[in-house]
Amino acid sequence: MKVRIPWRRQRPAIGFWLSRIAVSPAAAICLSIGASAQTSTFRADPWYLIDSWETEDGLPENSATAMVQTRDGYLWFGTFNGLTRFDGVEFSVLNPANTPALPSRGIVNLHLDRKSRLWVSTLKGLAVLEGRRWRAFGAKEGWTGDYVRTFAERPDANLLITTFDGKVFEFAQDRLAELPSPPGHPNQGYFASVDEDGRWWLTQNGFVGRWDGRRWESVVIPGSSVGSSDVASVTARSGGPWILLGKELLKLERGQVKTTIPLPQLRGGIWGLNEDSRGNVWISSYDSGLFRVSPAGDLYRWNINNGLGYHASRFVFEDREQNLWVGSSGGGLRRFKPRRFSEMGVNALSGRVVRSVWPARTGGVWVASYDTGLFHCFDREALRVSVPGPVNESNYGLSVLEDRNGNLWYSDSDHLWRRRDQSPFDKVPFAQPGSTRTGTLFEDSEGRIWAAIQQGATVWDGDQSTLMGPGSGLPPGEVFCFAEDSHGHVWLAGEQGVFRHGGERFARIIGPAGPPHSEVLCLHPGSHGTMWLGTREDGLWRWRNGSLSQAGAQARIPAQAVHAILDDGLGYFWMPSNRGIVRAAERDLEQAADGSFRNLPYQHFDHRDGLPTGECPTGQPSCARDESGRLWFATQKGLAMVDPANLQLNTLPPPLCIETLTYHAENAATASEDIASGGALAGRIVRLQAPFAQPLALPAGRRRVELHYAALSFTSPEKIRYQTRLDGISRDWEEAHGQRLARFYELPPGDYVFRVRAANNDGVWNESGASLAFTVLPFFWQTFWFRSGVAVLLLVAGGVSAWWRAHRRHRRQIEDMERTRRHQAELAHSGRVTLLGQLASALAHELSQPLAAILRNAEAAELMLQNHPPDLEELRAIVADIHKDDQRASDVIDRLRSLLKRRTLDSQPVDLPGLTAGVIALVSSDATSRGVTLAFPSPPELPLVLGDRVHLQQVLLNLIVNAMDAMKEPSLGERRVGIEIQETASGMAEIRVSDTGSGIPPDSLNRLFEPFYTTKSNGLGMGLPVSKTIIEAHQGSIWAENRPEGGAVFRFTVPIARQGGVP
Amino acid sequence: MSDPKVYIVDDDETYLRAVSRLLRASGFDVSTHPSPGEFLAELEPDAAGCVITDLRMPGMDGIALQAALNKFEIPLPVVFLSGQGDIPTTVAAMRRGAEDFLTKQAPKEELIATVQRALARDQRQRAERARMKALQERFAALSARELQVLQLVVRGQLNKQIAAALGIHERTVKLHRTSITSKLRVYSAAELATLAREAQLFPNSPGPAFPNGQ
Repeated sequence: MKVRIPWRRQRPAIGFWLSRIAVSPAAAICLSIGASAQTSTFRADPWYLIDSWETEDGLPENSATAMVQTRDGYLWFGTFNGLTRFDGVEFSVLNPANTPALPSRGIVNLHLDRKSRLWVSTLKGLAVLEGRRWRAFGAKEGWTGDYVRTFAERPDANLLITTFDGKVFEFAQDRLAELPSPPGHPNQGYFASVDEDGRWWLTQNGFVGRWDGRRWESVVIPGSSVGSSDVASVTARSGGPWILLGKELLKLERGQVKTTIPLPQLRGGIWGLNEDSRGNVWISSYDSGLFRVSPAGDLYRWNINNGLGYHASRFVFEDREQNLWVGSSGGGLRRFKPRRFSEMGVNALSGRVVRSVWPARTGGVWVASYDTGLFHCFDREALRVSVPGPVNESNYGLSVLEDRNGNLWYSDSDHLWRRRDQSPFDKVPFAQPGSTRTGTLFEDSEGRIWAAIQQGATVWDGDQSTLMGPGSGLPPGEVFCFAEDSHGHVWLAGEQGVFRHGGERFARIIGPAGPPHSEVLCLHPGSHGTMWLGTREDGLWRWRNGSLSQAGAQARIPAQAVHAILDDGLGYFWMPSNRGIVRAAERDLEQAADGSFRNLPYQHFDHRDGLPTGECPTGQPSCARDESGRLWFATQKGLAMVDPANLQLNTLPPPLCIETLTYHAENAATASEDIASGGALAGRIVRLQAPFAQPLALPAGRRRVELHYAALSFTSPEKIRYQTRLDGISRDWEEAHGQRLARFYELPPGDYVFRVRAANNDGVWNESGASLAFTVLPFFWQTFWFRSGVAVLLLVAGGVSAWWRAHRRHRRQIEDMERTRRHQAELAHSGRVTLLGQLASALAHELSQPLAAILRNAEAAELMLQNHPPDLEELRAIVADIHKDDQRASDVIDRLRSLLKRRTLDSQPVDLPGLTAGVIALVSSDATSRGVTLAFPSPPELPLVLGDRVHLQQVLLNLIVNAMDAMKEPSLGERRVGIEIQETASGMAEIRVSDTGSGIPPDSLNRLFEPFYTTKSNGLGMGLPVSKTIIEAHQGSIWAENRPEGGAVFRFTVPIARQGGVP
Repeated sequence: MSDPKVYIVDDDETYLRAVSRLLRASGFDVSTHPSPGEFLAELEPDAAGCVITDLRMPGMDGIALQAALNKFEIPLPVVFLSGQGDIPTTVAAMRRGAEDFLTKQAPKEELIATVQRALARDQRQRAERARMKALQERFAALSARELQVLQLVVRGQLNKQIAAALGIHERTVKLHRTSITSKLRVYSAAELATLAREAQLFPNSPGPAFPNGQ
């Protein structure tokens, strides 16, 4: 009933919708949906992943003038071509065309107050959306300003509003009143803010001061130059305002300067000031980009070279998930998403294949890169470490490890190197000749170094190296990884399975065939004697006390590959794969391995979280934890680091909205109802938008219903997981992955509730989700009343039809019998065809005789006619012979035809001996050529039997041919088929066909009559089943046995015709 | 020797009659037999001609008939007629040395040509047989000693070698040779050797090219 299709493919063309959406005055908000956002990401930033949306990505105009986030979770921002709502993927635009209450397309400023009123300042006036109602402010309502420069709000939701033309308004007690302007030049309008006591502050060139209830009171800032051209202020999160005066940022508390941050590098004209939740103050410049002042007072600047689209910045807005949104005039919208992972060693390693990373005792980490060699990396700086040998060779680093003695081991594509202390690198020979490279290095608790080699492993104990191969219980094969368990036993995994070293030799723990059903690429000792196994494509497995179980088979972890397992010391495993890094609690994984979790909580990190790429290499060590607890990961495009102790997960369950309901209207009549009920008509497609009228009833005959929904999480909308359910159809949640559209076909009349729930990028579910109840109305013929009426009618009609049905039932029974008989006849027919194939040569011979005779006679006659006078007597004899032969040929053809002809059982009294003689005549030539004697002693006087002549002939034929086939053995002395007929006591005639072959193998005896069972090389196995069908249709039976004197005998019975013929 | 005849053997009565009519009308002397047994019983030892037989017959089939005929001093050539679908049997017969095969519906011209060929072969065999018989009769006139001498002459030995081998005088050898050539009416040793080989008188003779050096 329900068909789910990935929504991207199924999304209707936007233009199609736009062109058909009618304006509905009843709808409070009618949006046109813009294109979905396709972001491009600027990745080089050390703190943020910067994604951009511009006109090409669906913005109605390439500006974002102000932004708010409404309670329901949507982000709203202003552009000069409409007010835009964003759900993380799609933009919806409000403009005067679809929202007449909106004075202008040009949105200059926005504010969402504590009472959830949305203040919208446009190029043509101020409007406020309260709930679903728009309220306009004009001169009559006390609005005389042009457009809003700033909003400031007190805890009681009273507002101070400043305008570009230097006016100041207060909104209190639901009334707008203009306040007197403070002294000094308003320049481009005052900056409004509010202090911890709720007093209004204004800041602008030549004036910084507060409202004392009657007038503006100037506040003198000691040591600062009021009158500086660049002045701004904003209400601080902790109370008193932040004030920017020229090259100084001031934090005021209780009217006193608490903090002064000098910003000598600040430049450009100031447009706005914002503070984020991490204590950063952001300064938007209208000509020099964006500045961030960190709590430590560091200034950092973004411009078009490092992530911005244009130098004119308007605002920085922080959403509930701590993403920062940067608006611009002409440069679109940017999202600054704080990185979870930092890229490290960017000067040398960015974009490079990093294979291995290991903490250095002297600080930083060692890094082996596959195309640039060995590095010592300190945070974002990486220094190259030179390794002897031709540069191009040592560049291909595979693995690096520093042991407890301070020896640095480094393997490249050609050699293994060791450096003691600060001495130069030495080439380390492998114990196995021919081995030159290893991608796997491991140090055990005794300080021995283990390395995988081409066929096995080598272990160094000091300078003493030992080859681990077949001699130590290790079959030849590639080794992928090592680990050590809590008992000090070294484990290794490779092509040949998983092995444990028990002092002297390796013992196999897991065979190469598994389970797991894939190669084990990494091993990690867990608590309680557990060994965790990561596989190439079969996920994570747990080994404990000899038993294996898969962790998260049901958990739907996105990565089926586990290239390494890194314990962060905080109870979590970090598991790099070819598709990002999965983080899950060891405790939860234990439970998953016990089979008790259905939805394993996990996070999945990839490039959207700051990894250079989600693809992490295999090999060991490919990730490591340093002394300060930071985790380092090698990736195919660089080195990544995360500090698990300061990992900020998105703990907010995503708010959910059902945005539209679309259905196809059956006809014009219902479509007009739809318009009346608040829908928009689009040809035969009707689209309803949230907020929906309740109760929501869809007219009868809904062919297709589509629901569009969105979870309003903005960190990584691509990672949101949805589950949907339609009560009335199903009780189970259905996994919708990232799909934002549910589609239902052919919904029968009834009441439904559509439910959707979602998990954010870090796997936090909004369990309650969103729901929409709707009813599909029945057609009149689907209503109860109509059906009752019909039922009464049916009752009456029922009686009338009862006798007719009885009559029909009788007829159907007869038809059924007919059908059964026809079926049997078909079987018999196919059997005949098979049989004929086997008899073809014999029949051809039969036919060729008379034809040849005719030919010769004709030729003779021709010659005789040339004589004068012709011998008429002889010619007459020839003609007679030709007649005779023609008759003979016809007889053969008739026999053939009667065998081929599809007939149902046509029971007649049959002379069985006569029929048998006919069959014998048919096969006699075949028998002769096979050297078989057909013995048919004249039977005693036998009454006629009741049966179908042709069918009985066929059974007999089949049995005789089978009997002859059974005597193909060249060594047989006598080949004889005996046919006997006799009457039984039970009023049947029994026919026996015996042969002198080797008999039937006992195990075949009871299978002989099964279809397609055959012992012949060229048989189909249909002959005997068909015979059985025929005989049983005659009320007889057929069976086979071995004769005591050798050979087999087939016996069947047919009923003897009673006096008077047909029963 | 009786006149050559075409002996037709077939269990199919009408075909037997039809083919005999055709051959008779084509000018052959025809004798019909409904079964191989009856045919062999009636066959005269010096019968000439050929046999046309159906390949497949109850009791003795065509192949068996051919085998029986081969025991005669002068075997009659056999032409086999086969119905359609008898390919495996035909192949078997060919392996046993049968030369002529026809299907029963073969064109009349082919049938007649085959019969003529078979008759010609019979006639050739018969003429050969007669010549051989005459030759052997000539050699039969030689005495035992003359045959011994002839044998050695045929091997290419010189008179004195022959004399040494047989322990007789060289002049006696010459005498025997003169008697041999006069009885056989040949005049050279080479002619003598050719004749002797033709008559298969000394089947194991290595021939004149290989003097045995005695």
